[in-house]
Amino acid sequence: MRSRSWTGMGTMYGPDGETHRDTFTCVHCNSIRHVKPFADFNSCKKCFGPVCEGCYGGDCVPIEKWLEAQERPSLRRKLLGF
Amino acid sequence: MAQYNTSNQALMAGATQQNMAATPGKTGVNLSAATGAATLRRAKIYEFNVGIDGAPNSTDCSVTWFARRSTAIGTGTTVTPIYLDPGDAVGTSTSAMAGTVNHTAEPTYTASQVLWSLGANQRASYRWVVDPGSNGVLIIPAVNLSGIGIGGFSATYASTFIVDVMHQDM
Repeated sequence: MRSRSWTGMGTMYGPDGETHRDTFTCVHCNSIRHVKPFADFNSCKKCFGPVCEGCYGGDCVPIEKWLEAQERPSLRRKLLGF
Repeated sequence: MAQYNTSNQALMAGATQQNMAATPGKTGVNLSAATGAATLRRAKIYEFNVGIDGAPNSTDCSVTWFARRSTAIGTGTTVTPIYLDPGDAVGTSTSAMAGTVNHTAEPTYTASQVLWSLGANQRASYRWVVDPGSNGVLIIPAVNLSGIGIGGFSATYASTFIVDVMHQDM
């Protein structure tokens, strides 16, 4: 895989032994995707991070931006002392 | 930051493990930020393991495993995540995450936010782990009751299963 920064490993243990698969985590929706060894995967045209097939071609909303949007209301309440 | 383990296995949960069910299935572990506005923190899941620990069904069948974002914890047994390093300082040995396991009422899942799913034979177990230093962790936002639930469903297999989650507060 070209980028090591969003990667992981999935291992299946079964009666016939172990199967390993590289994974990457979509920089937009945070989902885990399995990929074949040395396979290319979709990249966002803006942030250049690996994206899943559902996010490919869509708006660039990195997971950090999504998290901030989710946390904004509770952060506001906290700052206001509620 | 301290690292924790949360599992629905009976030794940790101290409760009866739920049996696998047909769709929408059963959640084994739901981790959520549920400790109040003053202490809300993000958490990241860097590893999870899933598999059955009951006798396999005599009819060969599949189990579909999933990890989904949730907005409410449902009904289950509350567990305290176990810190992995006994040397962690007092104060960091308690996770900001609330663990709910062996649900009798499913968490409220956000539609279309399936973070991971896998169809596997009932006899197979699965481990996912992020590469060391990788950003590819599953992140739980610091929003009250917001979390990630991991479980599975099967039309045929109907005995117990284990979900084991390694996580870290951010």
